[in-house]
Amino acid sequence: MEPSKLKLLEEKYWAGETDAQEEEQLRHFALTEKSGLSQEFIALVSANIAFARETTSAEFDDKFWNRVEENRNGGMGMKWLQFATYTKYAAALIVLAAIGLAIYSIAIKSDSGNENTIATEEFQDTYTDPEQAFEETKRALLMVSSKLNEAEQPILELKRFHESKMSITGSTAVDDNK
Amino acid sequence: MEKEEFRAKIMVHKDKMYRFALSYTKSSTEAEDIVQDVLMKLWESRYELNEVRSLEAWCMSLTRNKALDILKKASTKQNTSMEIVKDSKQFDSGVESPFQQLSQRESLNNLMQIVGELPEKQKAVFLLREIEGCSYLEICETLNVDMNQVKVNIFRARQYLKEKMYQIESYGTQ
Repeated sequence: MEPSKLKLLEEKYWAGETDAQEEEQLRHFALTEKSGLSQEFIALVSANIAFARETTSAEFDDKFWNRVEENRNGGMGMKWLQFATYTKYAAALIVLAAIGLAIYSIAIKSDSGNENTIATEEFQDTYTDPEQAFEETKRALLMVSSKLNEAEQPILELKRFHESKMSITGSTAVDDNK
Repeated sequence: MEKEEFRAKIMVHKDKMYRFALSYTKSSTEAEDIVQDVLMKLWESRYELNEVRSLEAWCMSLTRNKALDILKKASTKQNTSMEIVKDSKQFDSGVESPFQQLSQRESLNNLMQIVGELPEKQKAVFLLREIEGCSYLEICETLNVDMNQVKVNIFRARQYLKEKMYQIESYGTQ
C-alpha cells in the first residue's frame, strides 16, 4: 500500500472510523513495512500484540478443576450446614406450634367449663310451670329436712350425755371447793 | 452443560477474560483469581448458560463486573503498571530478538499505564476492540451500552492514546 494511503488509513483509525478489516490491514503494515505509519501507531500495535500474548498460567486449568472438585466435596458439607440452619428454624417453629396448641387447648377447656356451668344453670331453670317448680322445690327441701331429722335423735342423746357429764363434773367441782 | 461442553464453550475465553481482568488489576495473580471466581460462578450456573445469547460477551461482562468490585474493595491500586512486567510470563517468541522483546515490554508497560489512565468505559471499549478484536456489536452486548457510546468511547480512547504515545515516542516520557 502506498504510504500516503496508509497515512490516511491511520488517520481514519485514530478518528475511530475504521472497520475491523482496515484495522487488520494497518496492524499488518505496522509489523511489516512500517513506512507511512507514525511511530506512535507502531508502538501501539506493538504493545497491543505484547498484551495479547498475556495468558493464564499453565496450572490455571488444573487449579480451576481442583476447585470445582473441592466445591463438590465441600458441597455436602454446605448442604449439611444449610440443613442445620434450617433445623434451627424448624425447632423454633415446633416450639411455637406447641405453645400455640397448649394455649388453644386451655382456651377450649375453659370454654367447655363455662358451657357446663351454663348447662347446669339451664337444667335448674328448666321448670316453666311455677306449680311444678314449687313442688320440685318442696320435694328437695323435704329430702334435705328428712336427712336433718335423722340426726335429731343421736344429737338429743348426745345432749343428755353432755348434761349428765356436766352434772357429775359440776358436783365433783363443788366437792373439791369444799 | 457438562465438563467437556464447559471447556469448549466457556474455558476457551479464559485468556481474554484474564487480559481483561489484568487491564483493571495490573496484577496477574489478582487477574487469575478474578477469572477463577468468574469461571466458578459460571460453572455453578452451567445449566442455565444455554439461555445466554453470547457466552463470550457474558464472560467478559462478568469479568469486568468482578474486576470493578475488587477494585472498589481494594480502593484501586495506583501506579502498579510495573507489576505486569514482574509478573509477566516470558514472551515465548523464538523469532524476536532480545532487543525486540525488551522494546515490546516497554511498549506494553507504557500502554498499560496509559490505558490505566483512561475512564473505565473508554478502557473497556479500547481493550475489547484492540486486544480482543471484538466487533462493535459484541462490545455493546458486553458493556450493555449502545453503539453511539461505543463509537464515542473508542474515538476518545484512541485520541488520548495517540497523544500519549506521541509524547513517549518523541520525548521518551508522557
